[in-house]
Amino acid sequence: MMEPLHFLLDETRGWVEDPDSPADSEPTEDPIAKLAEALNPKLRIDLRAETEEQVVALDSFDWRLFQAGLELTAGDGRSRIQTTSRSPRKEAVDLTAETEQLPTFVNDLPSGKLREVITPVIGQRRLLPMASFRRRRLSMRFLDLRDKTVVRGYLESVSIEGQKKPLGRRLTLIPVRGYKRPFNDVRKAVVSALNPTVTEQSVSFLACTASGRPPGGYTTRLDLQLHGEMRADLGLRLVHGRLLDIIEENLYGARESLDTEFLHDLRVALRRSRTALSQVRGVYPQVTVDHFKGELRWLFRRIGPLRDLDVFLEALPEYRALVAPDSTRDLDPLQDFLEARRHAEQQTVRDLLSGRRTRQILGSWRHFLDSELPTSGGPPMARTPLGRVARIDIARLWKRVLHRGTRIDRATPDPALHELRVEIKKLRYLLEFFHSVLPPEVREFSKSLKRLQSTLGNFVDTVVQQRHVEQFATEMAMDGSASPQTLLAMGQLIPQFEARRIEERGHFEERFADLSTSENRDRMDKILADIQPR
Amino acid sequence: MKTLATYSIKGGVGKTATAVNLAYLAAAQQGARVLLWDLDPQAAASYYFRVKPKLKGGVRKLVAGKTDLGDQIKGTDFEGLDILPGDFSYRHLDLDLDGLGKPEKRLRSLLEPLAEQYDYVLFDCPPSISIVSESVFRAADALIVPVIPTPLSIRTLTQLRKHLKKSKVDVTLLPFYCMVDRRKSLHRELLEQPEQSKLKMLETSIPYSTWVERMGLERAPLAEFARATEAARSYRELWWEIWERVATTAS
Repeated sequence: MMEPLHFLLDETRGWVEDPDSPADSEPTEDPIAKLAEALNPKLRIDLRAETEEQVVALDSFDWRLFQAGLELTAGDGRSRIQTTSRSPRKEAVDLTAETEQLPTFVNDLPSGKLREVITPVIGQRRLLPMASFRRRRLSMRFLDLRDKTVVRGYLESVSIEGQKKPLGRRLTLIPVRGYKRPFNDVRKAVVSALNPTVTEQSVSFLACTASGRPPGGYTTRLDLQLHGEMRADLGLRLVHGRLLDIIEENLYGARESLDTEFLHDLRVALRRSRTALSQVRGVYPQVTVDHFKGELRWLFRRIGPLRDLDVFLEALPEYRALVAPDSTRDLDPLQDFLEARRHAEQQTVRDLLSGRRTRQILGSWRHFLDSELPTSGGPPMARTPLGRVARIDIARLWKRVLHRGTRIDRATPDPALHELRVEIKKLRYLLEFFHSVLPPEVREFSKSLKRLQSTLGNFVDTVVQQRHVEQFATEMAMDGSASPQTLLAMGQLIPQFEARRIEERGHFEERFADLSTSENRDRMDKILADIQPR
Repeated sequence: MKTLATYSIKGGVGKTATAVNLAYLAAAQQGARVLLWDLDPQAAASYYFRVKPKLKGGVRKLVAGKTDLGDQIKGTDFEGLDILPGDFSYRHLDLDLDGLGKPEKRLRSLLEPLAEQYDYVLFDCPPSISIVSESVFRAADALIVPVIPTPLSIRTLTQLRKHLKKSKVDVTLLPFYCMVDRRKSLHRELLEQPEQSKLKMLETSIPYSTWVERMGLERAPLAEFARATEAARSYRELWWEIWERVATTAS
């Protein structure tokens, strides 16, 4: 079946060039008249309705809808979700719902199919306005000599809010089933008469790009193409630079608590930065490493308590389902307690992230990363090829993981599993940082590592949450905010967590065996070929 | 996908006008994806939609599966509404079906590949009782039967009911009064008879209207050029009544 075609009419060049520059040309000729002339006498154009609307394109900060092949727009009292032209979804979606106000979270959307489609994609993330634009649409039909509609179409004029020049015009041709030849005739006429640019992108996508927010522009993936022969200090600075970009991009959202994922992404980027500092050895001056390890740790620890509260609050609905049905409401005071605590902690984090010390830390870190590379002297591994340095440090961590893992049995105290998890995280981070200088086998190996990490993560989470519940119960008992019923309900969670802890611990042996197979050891040998570990 | 058919043994009762208007309303009012299959060699429905009454290779090859049904479908001027055009070769469709195995089930099997593409398929049937109509009865979920309020037309409806019962065909019958002229005492008397309830007619009736006749001039469904007329409003109500009835029956 034929697909619609979209063309950019670039007489104002707003689509691709600087939209704030003065208009160098205004459209002098009516494109419809030009097209009509080109089609005459075979086909004629019948103009239909003209509509105008103010539209806001919405997505999460990390473009979850875009990544899922969806586009959400809102305006004129309704929201609309559609599949994009390159959507991986099997079925096309085009749904609308009445929304008086701009939706901020999925719960602001009315119940129904639109909300059902969006919820699993967006989750807890806030819907942010990525672009605001005015769209005028003129519908038209292309008629043959019998006045039969053989092609449909529309011409859209788009203006971005706050920009002087209109963005441009976009012509869409929609095929009518069974009329392939006229569709091709119109297409050819458009190309010859209007000299347009073909595009697959929607107006929403183009408006976001023109607004300085290209869809998919934010990601926590490093996506760095490093080279094995480049200097290790250059490679490491590129990794750190990218991680610092992620930190900076999330600062505002974390400070304003737009949603909980900003703080999470910020913390993960800090953790990865610290890992790169401590585990890639001999590349930066030791005094630099010690200094920034300390600074980043300070920041990381200060935002920890808020993240813990976010995680617990997000899991609370699930915990309610773990207690007896007539006790679920007894957990309400716990929720109130946590939300009050969170509110206070959020103020602390806000002050912290907008404070002088944070600015200083990040500013000086950026300054170091952008400074000139030493041309002589310097740390012992600074000018060693990155591929070699990566392999040395990965080999060390792999050896440690194997050593720790093989020593864990059913009698081993829990902290040993937590320590192993930390080592595995470090190893995974290094594999991610340097994947472009490692052979493709690293991907399969990383999958087994991830599965073990996930098991250990679940295990550690149950221990941590159990401790939190006990701590909250103590504090609430002391300040009188927990009734005996509330404390009893909270007490019901403990054996549930304990049961989970035991279950996850039970998975460890199998997962570790999966990781430490001879196949994986061979893979790692291949990945780490030709180096001697330190 | 629901399959409907406008059907009557008698001609000139408003089958095609009904098929065209209901197909349009399903697409325009409800946003459904609709295919109108013009089974009539006169190809009146195709004419209304300005589609050339032509099937490549004729209907014989189509029902024998030698030409692809999907390739023959044409879009109308209205989004969501397509038509499988009529063709003069439909005049011997009975013979063509008879020459194939299981002729009564032929149309149903031809529709199967369309199940994902359309929400409704609507047959516009020629006036007859034949292999073609038997095939339609077995393909359709519901027969929409326009009845002019005259004794002979009502008798024809009763005959149809008996025939379907005798043939054990599982299809919902949705008869309705069409071309009702309240100036005619015969129409008024028939409509007011107490035996009406036994006929199980739909509540909506379509008035006689010159606007419906003008469809041939405008070559468009009523709602496109005479939206505010009583006939157009009646068709809108008829569609909703049919939709409610059909929505509760299994495909």
